[in-house]
Amino acid sequence: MIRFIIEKLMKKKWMVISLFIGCVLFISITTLSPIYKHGALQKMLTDRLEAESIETQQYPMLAMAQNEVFYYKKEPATCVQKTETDAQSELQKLTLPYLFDVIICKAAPQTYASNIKNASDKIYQLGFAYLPGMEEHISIVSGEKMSETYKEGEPIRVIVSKSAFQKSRLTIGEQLTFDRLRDENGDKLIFEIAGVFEQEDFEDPFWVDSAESYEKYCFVSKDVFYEQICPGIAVNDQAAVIDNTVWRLYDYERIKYEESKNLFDTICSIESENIIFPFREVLAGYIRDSRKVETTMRILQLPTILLITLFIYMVAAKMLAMEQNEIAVLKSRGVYSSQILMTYLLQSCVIAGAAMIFGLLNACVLAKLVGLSNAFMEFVLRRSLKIALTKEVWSCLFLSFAFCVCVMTIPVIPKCRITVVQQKRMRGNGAKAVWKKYYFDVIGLLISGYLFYNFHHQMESIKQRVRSGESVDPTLFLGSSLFIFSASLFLTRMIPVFVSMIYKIRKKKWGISSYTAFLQSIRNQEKQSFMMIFLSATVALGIFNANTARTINVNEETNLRYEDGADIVMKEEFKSNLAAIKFAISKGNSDPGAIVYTQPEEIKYQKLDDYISASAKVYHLEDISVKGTSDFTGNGNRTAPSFSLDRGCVTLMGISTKEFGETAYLPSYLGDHHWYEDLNKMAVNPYGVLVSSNMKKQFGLREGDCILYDVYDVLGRNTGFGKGVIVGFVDYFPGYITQQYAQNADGSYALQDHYLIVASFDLITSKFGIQPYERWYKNKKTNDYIYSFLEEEKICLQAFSDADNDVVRMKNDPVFQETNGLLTIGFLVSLLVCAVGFLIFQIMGMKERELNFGVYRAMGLTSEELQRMLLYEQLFTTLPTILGGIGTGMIATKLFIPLIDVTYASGTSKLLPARIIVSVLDMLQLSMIVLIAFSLCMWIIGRIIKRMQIAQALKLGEE
Amino acid sequence: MEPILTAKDVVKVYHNLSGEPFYAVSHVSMEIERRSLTILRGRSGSGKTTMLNMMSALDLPDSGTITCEEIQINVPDEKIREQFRRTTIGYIFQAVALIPIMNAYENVEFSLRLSGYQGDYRERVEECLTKVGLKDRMYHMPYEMSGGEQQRVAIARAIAHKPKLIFADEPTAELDTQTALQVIKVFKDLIEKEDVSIIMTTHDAGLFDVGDVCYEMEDGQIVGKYVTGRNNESK
Repeated sequence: MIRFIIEKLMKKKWMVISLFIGCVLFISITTLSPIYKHGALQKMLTDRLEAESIETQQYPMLAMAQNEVFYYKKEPATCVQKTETDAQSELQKLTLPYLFDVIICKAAPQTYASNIKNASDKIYQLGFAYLPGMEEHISIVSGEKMSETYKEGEPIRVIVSKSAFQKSRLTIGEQLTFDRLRDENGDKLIFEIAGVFEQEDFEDPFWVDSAESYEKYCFVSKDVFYEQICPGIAVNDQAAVIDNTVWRLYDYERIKYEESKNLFDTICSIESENIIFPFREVLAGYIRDSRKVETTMRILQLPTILLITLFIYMVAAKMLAMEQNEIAVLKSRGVYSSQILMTYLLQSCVIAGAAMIFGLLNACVLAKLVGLSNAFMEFVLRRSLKIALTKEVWSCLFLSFAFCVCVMTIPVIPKCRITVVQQKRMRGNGAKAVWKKYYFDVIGLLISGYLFYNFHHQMESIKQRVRSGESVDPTLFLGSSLFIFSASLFLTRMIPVFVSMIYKIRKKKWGISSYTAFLQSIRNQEKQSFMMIFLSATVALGIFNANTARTINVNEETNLRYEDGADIVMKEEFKSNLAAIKFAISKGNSDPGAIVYTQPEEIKYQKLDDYISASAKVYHLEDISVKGTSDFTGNGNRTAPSFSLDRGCVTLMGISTKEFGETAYLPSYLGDHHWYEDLNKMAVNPYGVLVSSNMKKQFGLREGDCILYDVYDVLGRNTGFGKGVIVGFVDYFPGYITQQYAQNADGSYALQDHYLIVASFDLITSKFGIQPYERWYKNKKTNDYIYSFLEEEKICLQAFSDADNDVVRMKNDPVFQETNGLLTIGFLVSLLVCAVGFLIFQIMGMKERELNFGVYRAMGLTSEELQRMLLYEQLFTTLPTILGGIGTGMIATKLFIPLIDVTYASGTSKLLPARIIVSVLDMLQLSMIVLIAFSLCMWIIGRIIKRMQIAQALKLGEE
Repeated sequence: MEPILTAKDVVKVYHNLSGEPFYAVSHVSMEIERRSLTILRGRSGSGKTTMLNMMSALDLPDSGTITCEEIQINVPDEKIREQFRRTTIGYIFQAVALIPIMNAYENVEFSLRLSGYQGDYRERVEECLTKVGLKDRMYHMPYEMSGGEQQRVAIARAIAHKPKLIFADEPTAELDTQTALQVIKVFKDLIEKEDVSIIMTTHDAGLFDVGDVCYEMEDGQIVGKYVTGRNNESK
């Protein structure tokens, strides 16, 4: 049996290879999902934790159990140790692999007397800390180690960190005594600064709080801490507190992403006043986003999977049609239907089985590739994903194997009952396809239309759902797939109708080649319909995929850049008299004067001149209020409508128009005129202000209306008001966030308008004095310079954003990665499948018609005429199908991409209106592939016809 | 009277895998009379179809000449042979080879288009279909007709453009005796009324005496020529 099958397969090797390709693609696409998901989610978890760690300067995943022990008890040491074990056992409830616990016991700093310092010197305090195991993590920079035990009559040697040594102005050998620390005899204990240490390795996770942070502590041994210090404090000071902290450092690289939900729940149940998990919020965000990764994955794969299924079915059905005679003969000779079915089942198993191996390998490669994707059709080298073959992968693999076998075998079932007689009767009798009969295409179009309508109306609520981290209804995405496939069916129904209309124009007057081609296209549509559906769906899907990816990428990047305002935006900390004012207020001074800021040194910024093409200083004041006022210009303007905007919902920007225009980023497609025009209007009037359009809408403002804005300082005090004449309204402005989602009390999100006023930088400075301003830069080339600059100059930043960096971060986001990767793969697969499917179908079709060609030739049709006829056939079927496919893809793009784009809202809200991006390059690539497949096909057909021996062809037909 | 087609010393050699020559047709000469039904008879592999293909310009002989109406047709120039096939001859195939996408009418009309027939297509098509007794099935598709009916449409197609010669390769092979005889009768009528000559091959022993001339072929050679009917002549 197996040999029979293998021989059978060898005979139709091209068909088998195509089926094999189809199965490999199918299996790899379906298996890709769990493999990538595993790798990406795992990586995402690690990345998130690490990113948080960089921000907080702490170990990525640690738990902290902090207890304060009050010492009025007799056995303080036991008491501290008990707290410690309690904390540890509480932490033990979370069964996660961990590296180690770091435990620190601290006795609060107290004033000491020194043998070196004068009593009149500044008062210094020092506490005691015991950190078990610290010896292995430090290096002594000067002096010697601490003493292990207390020996009567000898000073206790302690060590301090470099920072404590410097800040407390200690000296090696300095002896300290504390009023409250006495030995059994009541004599003061003497402590000697024996050495200064620093962290051996600055990356060492052991130092949860860096050694430098212990500015007010000296370190002692266990013995000394428990035997001398604890009792000492307890006896002499009832209020003294010993602080015991246990940090548990989890091995976050070994934590499985599947457990994150359980982990989160456990954490929530353990967390208390004393035990905190700083990574909880990160985990919560991760859980929310990981759900999105999964849904997005499934949704993006679906159309491609459908397409490949269609491909496998098409090839299998074609192969079956070629073997129909054999089946009928076998059947007539008394072979059971079940036996025939069995043969095909085995055959499918052989093909799908072989495909399974390659599919799995391919899936691993693809998963890595998806992890490397940077944009549509663009990959970069970065840390690749860890590939693991989980249980889910295997089950997915076997399920897709079974599915492939079914798709290949199912078409056999009706055919294996047909005998020779029935088959002869059926020949040529093209029955109407089921979908045509029951109008599946029209129904599908109607449903997708309904889905579109429905979602279009729910756009706002979808946006909000995305915002609050809920996963999006997958039917949103099904709409586009359904539309593409139904439209392809519809095209397949309509194209022959159009062709026959053209045919009827001249009817019998067409030349011999076109006449035959017309008849072929019109009368043979049932046989061609499958191929037409397939071709149009593939082309449409390819276009749709490409456009989706481009749109999402470009829109998201534009949004990020818009939000940042310019390539680099930074705000250096300004020196001010704030501390003095605060002090004065605390002393009861009700009018301590205004805060005066000093500009940071300007000269250092000149170093940047080589790397930037433009720069601007920008005020960004958030704490202002605005109201309308009567005309103060004397131009006879009307009095502005009365309105007032409270603090918190309006931003005042101060700009110098020329510099700002050169530096800031605003996509040119926004609005009906260039934004420079607005800047120009502002430039000619020193009081000119631009205000956001939502103020115009809401308060009925007009150009020429005057407004007053009050500015409040960081202490919330009103510092005076500024005047402005409205010279223009802006929908968008660099860095201006038009609407913000604010979380309501019940946890739901609602959009709230945010307002903007743009005034002259100089006016604000002259009115309110210099305020901390932002520096905006436009890069000449790359953004590298800024980091070395910041490092070199040790600039203390209050705010910083780097648009290029933000874009990179976005592209590293797993949701974006998989979107780009999967859409790219989907696009490539559709190209491949399209080319292979087209070739197979055409060439097999030609082979079938060989007898026909023989007849044509015998009747005197020249081979040129025959070739022309075939070319016309392509023009009547393939060409309109491809054009139709392109049309379908474009319509789907127009209708559905804005919906899909909404679900990619990240960070803040989607600020800018979505713009559909169609890349000419993608279209060209697609057309090139189709053209190549088409030319190849025509070339092969030409060769078949040229080589055809008429006598032989006729003979073939006889058999 | 001049024969319509003359074949002189025609040879067709095939080579098997080891390169040994195999003479499918070996030095055959024959003349086809005008307005006659010539039958090439022989077992399978006797070379009759090969001979027929060469005479109908579908295949080229390795040596020898074939002329029809003073035009040599065994020339490599495909154009001449195509023109010959298009206008001068009609062909009836063993397997019923109607064009599946065209109905009976269109099938017949197709050969008129090909030959550039001057005259009213419709009239001629109907005339031809009437001749084969299928006028009322004019708009039926091939798959809606029986084997005999299809073969008769094929005959109508072969004669439509008024060829001088009709080649028929085993036209009765797939038909029962009754239908086969009907086809022969149609042939004879055509010769009477359409001024054509018909050459057909058959392996059916019962049919050899229905023609005017019958050539018996064996191993690529003519082993006998029987003349029946009008010109009584024997081997």
